[in-house]
Amino acid sequence: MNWNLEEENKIRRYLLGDLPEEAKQQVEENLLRDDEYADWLLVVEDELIDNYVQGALLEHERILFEQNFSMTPRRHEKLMLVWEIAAFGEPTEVGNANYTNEKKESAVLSARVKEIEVESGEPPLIEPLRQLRSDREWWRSLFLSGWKIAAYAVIVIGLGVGFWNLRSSNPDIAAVTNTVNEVYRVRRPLEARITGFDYAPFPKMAGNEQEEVDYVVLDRAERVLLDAFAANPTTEIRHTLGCLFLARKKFDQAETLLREAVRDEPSQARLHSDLGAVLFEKWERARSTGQAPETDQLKLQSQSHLERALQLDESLREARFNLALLYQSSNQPLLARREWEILLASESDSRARSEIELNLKLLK
Amino acid sequence: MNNWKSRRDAWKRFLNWLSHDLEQAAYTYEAVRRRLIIFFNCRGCANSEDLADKTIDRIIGKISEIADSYKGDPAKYFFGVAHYVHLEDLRDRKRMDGEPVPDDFPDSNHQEETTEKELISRCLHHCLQKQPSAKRELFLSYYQVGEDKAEHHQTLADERGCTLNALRLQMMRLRAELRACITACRERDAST
Repeated sequence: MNWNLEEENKIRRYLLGDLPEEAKQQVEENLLRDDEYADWLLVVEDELIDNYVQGALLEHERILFEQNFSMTPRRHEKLMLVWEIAAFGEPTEVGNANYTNEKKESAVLSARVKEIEVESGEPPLIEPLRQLRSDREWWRSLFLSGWKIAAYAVIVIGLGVGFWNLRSSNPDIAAVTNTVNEVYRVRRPLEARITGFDYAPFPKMAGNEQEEVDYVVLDRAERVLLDAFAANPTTEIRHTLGCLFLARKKFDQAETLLREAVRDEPSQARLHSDLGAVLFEKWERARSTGQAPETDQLKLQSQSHLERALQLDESLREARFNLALLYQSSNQPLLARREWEILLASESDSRARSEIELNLKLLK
Repeated sequence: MNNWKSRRDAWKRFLNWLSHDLEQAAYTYEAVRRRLIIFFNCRGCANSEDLADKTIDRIIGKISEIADSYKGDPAKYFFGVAHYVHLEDLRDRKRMDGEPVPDDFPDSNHQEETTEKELISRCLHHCLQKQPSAKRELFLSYYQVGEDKAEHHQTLADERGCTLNALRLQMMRLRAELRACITACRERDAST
């Protein structure tokens, strides 16, 4: 059979217990019919377990995994192995005389691995695995108790507010942001929403209809930001310029800048939200030109950044709006409805409320 | 004696139903059994091998009825029987326990798990050493997690001149090999 991402996604959802009954039966029949399909199911199952252990599952997948992924002895073995792979290279303390030989074997193996690294000029293999383990432990330790969650929430909100103040504290950048905001006040440039821009509706246009925007103002804003970026490439300027490129549909440039910004400041919800928006728009466009299988990675990355943004700041409307759009476009109506409803409950702008209500109607 | 003979005949008919070529039928039987084990495992059954055998036994018991008359997709038939066997198993377990068996979600910090992990750790080292160096290097590289895992795996595939999907399949088989080796290693350890 021809393997494709859509089928793989279906298997993933089947394993997470997230498929309707009819589709579930279809997966099980395919599994009983086709060896290659069975192989792929095992690949996806292994990778789900890998991702769970590495803390790399999307939030909703992690919840489904913990709720629905039955730990049979076979899966338990898989999980234990992946845990061990993650810990590979760490010294193991075992009070067992026989361990001395094993320790020697381990040392021989480590030495061999290091030889391979030296021969191939590759970066060290063991250290990143050890790092992965410590990262995971660190991540888990964050969520040990309720008071810690509350404390982190305060820190995260504080960072968010601080960042917004920082943006407005730079008069040049603030002026540019205001100007660009004015240009898009009547109609927003994209279906996805960009942080820092006030809400504006997004009426769908006919194919031959032209967008009416003030290109002179936008060109000037771009020049000012490019000059500022050349002189002092801060995360703030990177972000603002990335958002302008995004609004002007220069998606590749926007992606590059926003990825760099996220790399520099990974705890900024707005950066994740806007990078998620770029990837969503790229996915939508690639999909409409029939490149679906190749673009699923874009969708997954977009979803991952939008979810990260909401983890960092659950009140960030733009991130939730874009996540709802993404679920709706990828035919996940239950998840889309949930996001729209959360958004509706906190939205005060009547035009934004209308758009959300329209989407909820469409889902029905 | 008659019972044994009728069972042998039913087996023959079953194999013949799978394929007229005996060698191919034996291969198909193994493949069907493997897929049934995966099926029951996906449904959360701890005894997936027993249930796979039970399903096959059930089909063999019905073979005289289905061999000539059943015209549809055999997968649908297998699905129907396996589904029924699973429901029976759930019912039996409920009867025995009084309530559904709770999910046994492992906790990495639990003491028993820790001891098990130590054993697996030793066995993993041992089993990795038994692998050819190219496979060992691939395994370790695959789990070297950097900024972008997908990109890293694509690079590994490119370096080996294969597609990403081929690499993922290769890794699935390698993990299965390692698990089998680790299981054997643990059994050896337990018997000494």
